[in-house]
Amino acid sequence: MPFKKMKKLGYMIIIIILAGAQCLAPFLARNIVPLRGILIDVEAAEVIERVAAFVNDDAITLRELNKQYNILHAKDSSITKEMTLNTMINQLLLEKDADSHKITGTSKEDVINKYINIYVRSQVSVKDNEIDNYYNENINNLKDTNGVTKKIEDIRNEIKVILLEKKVNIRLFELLKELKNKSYVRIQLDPD
Amino acid sequence: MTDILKLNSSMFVRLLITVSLLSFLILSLSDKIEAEDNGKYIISDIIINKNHYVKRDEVIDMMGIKIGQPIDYDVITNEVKSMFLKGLFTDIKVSIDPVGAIHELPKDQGIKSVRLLVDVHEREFISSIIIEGNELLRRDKIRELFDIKEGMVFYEKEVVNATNKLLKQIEKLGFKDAQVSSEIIKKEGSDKVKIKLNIVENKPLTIAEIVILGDETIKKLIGSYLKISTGDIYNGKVVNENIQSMIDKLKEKGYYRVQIDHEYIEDSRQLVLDVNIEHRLDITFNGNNNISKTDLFKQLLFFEFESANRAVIERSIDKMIKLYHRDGYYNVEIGYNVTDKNDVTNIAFSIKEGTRCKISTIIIKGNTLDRAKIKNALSLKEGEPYNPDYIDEDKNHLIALYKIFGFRDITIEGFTPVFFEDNKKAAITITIKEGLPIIIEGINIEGNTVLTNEKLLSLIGIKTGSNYNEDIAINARHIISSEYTKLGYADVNVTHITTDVSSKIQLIFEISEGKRYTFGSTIIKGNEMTNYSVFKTAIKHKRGDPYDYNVLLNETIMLNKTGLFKSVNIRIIQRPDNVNDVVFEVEEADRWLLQAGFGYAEYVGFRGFIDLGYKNLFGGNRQIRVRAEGNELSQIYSVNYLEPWFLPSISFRSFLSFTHLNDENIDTGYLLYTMDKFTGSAGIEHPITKTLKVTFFYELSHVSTFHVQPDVIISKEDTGTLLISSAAPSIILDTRDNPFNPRDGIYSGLTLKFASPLFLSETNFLKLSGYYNEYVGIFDHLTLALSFRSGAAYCIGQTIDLPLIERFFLGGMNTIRGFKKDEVGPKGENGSPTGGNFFGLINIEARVDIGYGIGLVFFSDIGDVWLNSLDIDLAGVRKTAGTGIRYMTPVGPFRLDYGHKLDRRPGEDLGEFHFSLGNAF
Repeated sequence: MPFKKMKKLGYMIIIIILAGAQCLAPFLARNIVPLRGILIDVEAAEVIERVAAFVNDDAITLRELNKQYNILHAKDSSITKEMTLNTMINQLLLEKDADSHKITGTSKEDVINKYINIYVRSQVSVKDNEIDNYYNENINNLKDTNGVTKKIEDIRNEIKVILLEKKVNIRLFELLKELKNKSYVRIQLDPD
Repeated sequence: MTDILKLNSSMFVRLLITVSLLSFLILSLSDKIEAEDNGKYIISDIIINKNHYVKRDEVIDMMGIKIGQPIDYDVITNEVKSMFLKGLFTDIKVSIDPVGAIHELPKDQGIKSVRLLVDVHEREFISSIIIEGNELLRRDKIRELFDIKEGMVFYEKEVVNATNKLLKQIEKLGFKDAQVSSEIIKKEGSDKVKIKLNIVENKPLTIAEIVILGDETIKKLIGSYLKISTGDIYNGKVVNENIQSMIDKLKEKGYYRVQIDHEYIEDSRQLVLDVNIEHRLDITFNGNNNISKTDLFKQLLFFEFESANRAVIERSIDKMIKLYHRDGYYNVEIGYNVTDKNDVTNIAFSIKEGTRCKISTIIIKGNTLDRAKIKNALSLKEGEPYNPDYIDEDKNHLIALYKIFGFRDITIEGFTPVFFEDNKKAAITITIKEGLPIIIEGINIEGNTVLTNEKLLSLIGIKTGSNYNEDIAINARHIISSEYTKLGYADVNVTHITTDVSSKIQLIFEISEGKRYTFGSTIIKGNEMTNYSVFKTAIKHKRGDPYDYNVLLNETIMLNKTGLFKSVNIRIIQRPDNVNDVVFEVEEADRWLLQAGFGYAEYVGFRGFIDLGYKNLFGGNRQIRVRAEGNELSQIYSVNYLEPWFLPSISFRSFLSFTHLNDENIDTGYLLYTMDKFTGSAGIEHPITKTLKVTFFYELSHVSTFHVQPDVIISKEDTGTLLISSAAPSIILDTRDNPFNPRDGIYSGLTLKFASPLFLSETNFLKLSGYYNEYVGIFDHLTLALSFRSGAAYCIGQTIDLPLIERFFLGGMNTIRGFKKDEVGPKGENGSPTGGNFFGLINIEARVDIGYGIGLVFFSDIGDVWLNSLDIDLAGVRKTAGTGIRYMTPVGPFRLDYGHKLDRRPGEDLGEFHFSLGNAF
């Protein structure tokens, strides 16, 4: 082969290599992983599962989140994925703490309920003067269908339940805050 | 030409980009993955990305994925969750890529082949903790107080919490104005994090003055007990500890209701101790000749109840009487007298101890049950002190024992002690009315669906018509449970009931099988230095195997046996699909080993050793040890290497050593010979079972022997240099319960050593040696140990006699203890031992444990060494017997033995003393 032709072929090979490199450059800038001599574009592949959030060593996966969100959203359209994920994290925190206290049950929900009864509900109480205060503060809203103000002795138990639930929620909120502080909680994905 | 080329190249590039993007788009569109279509995609390849710490095979094992498997989305979710339990990841991203599938499947099946991509994002680790700014506080104290340690996974929030906690701890140490901040140092792209703790101590709270409130006597006492001085840093914890120790000391002096409060006044830097003591007790004991005042004092309840009223005094007397009863003073009487003077209450106990009585005999009447079994169940024992408090307890023991053996109507009609020899001895007669035994008329098994009645009945082995007892039923329940557990029925519950018709019963086993569980993912947590391969060899269960906790316990034992871990814990994570993931949480042990010792031993004089080892080389449990040891006669330097993964279940060992030895005649101290020996040895070990292993070693030794006493020389090889090249296969059986101080089992081995010119050896011989040691626990405190050892060597070809270092010698601390080291057997003209080609040795030992870690040994050693087979004369074997004392330590007993010659010959000593560590065999 004449020298000139060989030189021309050489140039062509160099150009092809450079062109190839240019083509691959944007892919390499993304997330290309070389393995066994093959280049695979990780981002081109479809993600079927990943960790959406975790509490210490327990993961909440993307599929779990989506499944739970679909159930909740179908029941209440105002529920967002973020709310769903936070709920799942809170459940996991309570479940793990219940586990550390050796609380067992027939299902996860049963365990969490038992845990809340022991560590939240049993810790709160409503005093008579709190019921009186609530009654006095809300006296204008405590009327029957005829517009007559209800007597305190008639609605004492109802007020007690309201105040108790309020306190339970506050205590639960504090407990979750405490558990979150003690745990490594991380949300990996923007749920929405 | 150049311009054309430039034009062509740019056109070519554009064309190439267009074609690439287009084809990519077409491919993407055509192979768009349809969501949640289980079984539609087959894994053609698995690609693990971004893993640094965890290896590909561990990820694949944890996820349980295989090439050729269909993709099941729920399984992937479960496996991601399981894998996350390792505590090493922040994210695990699983993707499927249809683009570059390797194996195309027939289209008509509707199955597509995909690559499974797993991206693991690992967490960051704390590589080091740097402490700066501390002046008075020690760095190691700060490290101890800081909850975060090097090697832990980095969680920013935990560092913040630990820093806040550290500050509080430092404040408690008296550094009230201290400041602590933490700085996190990360390198771009690295998974290692450094934490820098900046400590600003500021001025600590110091004690300028100690003020004690109370009367002068108390002030003096407290002052003498006080360990805090002016000028010390005020540390609330230290002060409280000191106060508690002072309260304890005051109680010992008879003070009770002691209260000491403390207050630190910051402005004046005063430590105020407010001592409040209500009362002091003065206790005296009269008439106690056999139990000490200290022991009686321990029985008093005044300080526990902080009261000395009548009830407390009487309860204290009850306790003292019980103490006397334990010693056999069954008729002890204790009275008391209380007097009050000023703030002191005097309680004087007057004791009439009575007679100490021992049980001479226990007579049992009316029994068909084995007398020994009955006696064994009693707390009262023949030869021991008679304690009347045990009578009711023993009646209950007997009733319980008889019920176990099926005698439901048992009654104890009499339990009467008769005293004689001035009440120093008691004979107890126990009269039993057993009633009729219960017979098993039939056996039913209910609730079993997995295992048949026939199978279970054959396993439990109970026969109808046999006597019933609770033990049999409980044992059968255990057998049934174990069988189910092996099959994965971890929740199985087996109970038994009996339905009776007079003295015959139907025995019914009720089985609640529960769910069947299988093993899921196996996650290893906490292994920072140890490779996954180490775990793979110990953890034998596979995903999908029946879940059996016993399997996990065995695996834990195997992991512990590697010596690489301080602790191995198992955590079971139950999945909803009856699959149990197992997390092995390990805490790695120190990899470095440094041992050193120094001492004195008979014959060799002062001795010492230093041993340096590293036991997790390259994270694979490979071990290397360098050892130097020496005494007044010899020095040995060695390097030992163990490769446990040489071949599957075969480990490789190699050994290099240099020995310098000056062998002396024990009696005269004259040098017998000097030897320098270089040895290189390499070989393999293969465990056949847990107790049986085979080894094969090659050894090359270069021996220089010089300054040899003429009468020791038998062959020309005994002086000068000699190259010995040999191969030695061995088989070893070890069923001992404790290698350092066995009470049960066998330790036996056989070795054939073959040295030949074929291996370039300058000497040619075949040497067979074996040992068989058996240990039998006769009683709780008595072990019988037997040992048979023998050896025979045959010279081959031109080799006429064995070289000196290969010959057998007997005599000394581990062989025949009535003789000095090597003293038994053939001797040279000047009486120096020459060793021989044959030997036989029998040792018998009775090892008695007398408590407190001390043991006594009675032994007899019989054996001899012969130069060749024609010399063997069993009538002339040497016999010694003796006794010894042992003190147990974790590495075996320290021992002092005296061996006495039973066939002493003219000119020989009576016997020998030996002092050393470890048993003789």
